[in-house]
Amino acid sequence: MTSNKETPLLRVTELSHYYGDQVGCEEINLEVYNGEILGIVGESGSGKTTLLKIISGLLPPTQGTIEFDKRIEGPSDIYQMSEPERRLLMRTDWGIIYQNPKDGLRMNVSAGANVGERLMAVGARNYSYIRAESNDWLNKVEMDLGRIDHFPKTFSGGMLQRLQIARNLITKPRLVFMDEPTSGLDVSVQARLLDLVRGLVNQLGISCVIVSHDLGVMRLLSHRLMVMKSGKVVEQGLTDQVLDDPQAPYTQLLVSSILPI
Amino acid sequence: MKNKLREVLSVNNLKKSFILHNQNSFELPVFYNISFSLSKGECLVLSGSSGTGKSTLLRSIYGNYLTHLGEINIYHNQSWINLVGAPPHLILDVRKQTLGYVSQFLRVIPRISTLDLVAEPLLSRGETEVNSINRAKDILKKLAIPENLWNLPPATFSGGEQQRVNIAITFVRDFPILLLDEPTASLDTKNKQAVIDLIKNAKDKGTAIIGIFHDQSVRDSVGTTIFNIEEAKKAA
Amino acid sequence: MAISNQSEKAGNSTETPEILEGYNFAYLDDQTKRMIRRAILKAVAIPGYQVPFGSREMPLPFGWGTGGIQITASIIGKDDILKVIDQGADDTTNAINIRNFFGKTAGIETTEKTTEATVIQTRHRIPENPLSAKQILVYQVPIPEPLRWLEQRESETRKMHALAEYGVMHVGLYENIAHFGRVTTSYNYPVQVNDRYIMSPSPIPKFDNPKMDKMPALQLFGAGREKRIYAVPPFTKVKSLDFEDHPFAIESWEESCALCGSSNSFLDEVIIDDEGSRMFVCSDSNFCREETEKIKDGPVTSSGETL
Repeated sequence: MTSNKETPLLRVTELSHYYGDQVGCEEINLEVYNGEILGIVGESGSGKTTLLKIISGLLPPTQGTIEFDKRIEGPSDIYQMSEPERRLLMRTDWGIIYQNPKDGLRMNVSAGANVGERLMAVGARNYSYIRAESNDWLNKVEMDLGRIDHFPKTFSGGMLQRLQIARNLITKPRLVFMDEPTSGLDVSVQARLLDLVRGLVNQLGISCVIVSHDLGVMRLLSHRLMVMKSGKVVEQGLTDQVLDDPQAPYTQLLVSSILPI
Repeated sequence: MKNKLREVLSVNNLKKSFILHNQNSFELPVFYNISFSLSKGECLVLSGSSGTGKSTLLRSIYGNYLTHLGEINIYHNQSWINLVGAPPHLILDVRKQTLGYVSQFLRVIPRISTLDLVAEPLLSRGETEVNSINRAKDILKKLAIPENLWNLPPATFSGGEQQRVNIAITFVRDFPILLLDEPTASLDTKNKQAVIDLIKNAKDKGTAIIGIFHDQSVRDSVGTTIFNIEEAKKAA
Repeated sequence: MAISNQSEKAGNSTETPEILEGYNFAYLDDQTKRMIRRAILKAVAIPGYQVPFGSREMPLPFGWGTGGIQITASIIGKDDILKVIDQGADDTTNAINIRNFFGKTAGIETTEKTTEATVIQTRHRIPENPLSAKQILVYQVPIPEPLRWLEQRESETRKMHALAEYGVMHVGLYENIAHFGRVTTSYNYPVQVNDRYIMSPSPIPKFDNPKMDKMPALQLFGAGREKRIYAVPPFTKVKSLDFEDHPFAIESWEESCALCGSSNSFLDEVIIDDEGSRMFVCSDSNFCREETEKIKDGPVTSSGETL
């Protein structure tokens, strides 16, 4: 974390994606460094979810490159590597937290199995070990251990998000993508979840890309902020700088539209 | 003259203005041609009547406000770097290791206990939990935050208590350079003295400080140099 | 089930029904047989891999063994001797009908004796007598995809097979142990073939899983409704999935077979009266009969074919 020359964990260069004539996102450049949380904000339809999908390996872009700094090989374009390689990356070094927990969890298997699945996917074949690790992670996300064998359908929204976090972090990923992780939760649950995410990211040195439309969440959670409009990045910089001294006309409008509490 | 070897920060010809795009791109100038330097153990007091841009200058140095013209050179990790135009992750690194900032208001994630808030910066720098908690307790004690409040989030604290928590979060780390924006504004005499002691202590250890203190007594007891923005502007 | 008849009916081959005129040998046309044989060859070449094939309408509904019947029809020759079992028994409706079907359309010899048969079509069991390299075992398969219960998308399961992403299979076993303290899956217990493909062994009891490993006979699996054929070539490694600390184990019984006294065969529990009295008997009717005869006639039968 010291010099200019440090290799970013994720580097996106000249990325564009089109849905036919429609612009999904256009000419995006971004970098995420180790231990950094990058926030992406913008109104609905601004292309932030498209961007997240592309950089998390779920949607090949029309053009541009997405390089991830692999542990051994160094920076590698995620869409140039073979599919097995990419999928392995996605279930080991990456995590994805979905807005809707049903997209990120197996609703028909217990909490413990949900958390332990990634371990099994990378070859863990010892039941006691898998169970102990699941327990440990449920503990880390502050879930009641008595619920390890319960099914996700009996859980509240906040608990489901915790479960998703545990399920993703168990393989100690280096980069986690989050799509509106706290929307749909009531404010008090939101605050605790934010605290949890921040604490875990700090402890584990994970990097994060978080998409949200909630500027308050971003101020507390992200180090850097990217503002998107109509598929383009209108401004990016330090979170507090973008929010306190916005440069682009759109950002100024956005920031001035926040209702004071 | 100042000892060049002890210099840790130098600002050269710095300019800041705000462009208000939603008001016909009206340009609001704040200051220009600001130059000064800061050495170890020095406490530079920014003076000038309110609205002259003292806070803006501090925020510009911290990177909270974006500057385009001029230089903010800072001694970071055994080398000099210019913060104007520096990439965000570099500024983050400077903030993590070199440059601390105490704002006028406390802004933290709700529902986290005061002790955890103060210990967190140490934890994230890789210190052990025990060590971090102990140092957090230590500084809270120095700032006379009652022990029965430590496990509560600061949202319900009085203005003075919140301000001291804010100071604790920054002072718990030993930053080589500190920016203080009215750290004693809402404190009574006794607590003011605690903060003054803290600042003096830091100074003695070689910390370089730029501060805004409206309170004359605080200025007198910690300040080593006065920098008047209005005069600097006139001179330019 | 006609248990009381088992010991009396000691006939070698079952009575051959009248051959029906106007059908191609073994019902299917030769084009279809060629297509199915090609699928079988591919399946043998890639052990455990599910090969899609153009499953035909058969004169009985899907779900009644049409996959197995199409395989049998494609591989059977005039000199073959066919045995058909359903849950281990030769004398259940499904087994008798399929046997008669081939008797009528192919005019081939059929048998109930495991050792005598060259082709054995089975539903839900592997015979107790070890099979030889001269025999072929044809399984009827309802759901060929072992990953289906965790992943509904066919495109995704195919990808998982292609990339050998099988971690999710252990999620099922984990669930069993978490909820019941042990793996309770007792039939259709997933296996890994030749250290590569995960395969559904069809709904045989897991008691039979070890028999698949290194079996000298060729094992063919046909799923008519799902249009898939897969195979385990002779002498191929077949491993049942498990955890290191919860190794695969087959079920065992306190009781022995009430008819033949066997203590190492798969037993069915049979309710014998309205009071709820029960007895345990071999599910493999042919094996049970032969064991009973051994007791009657001494150690080796005149035909010399028991082991």
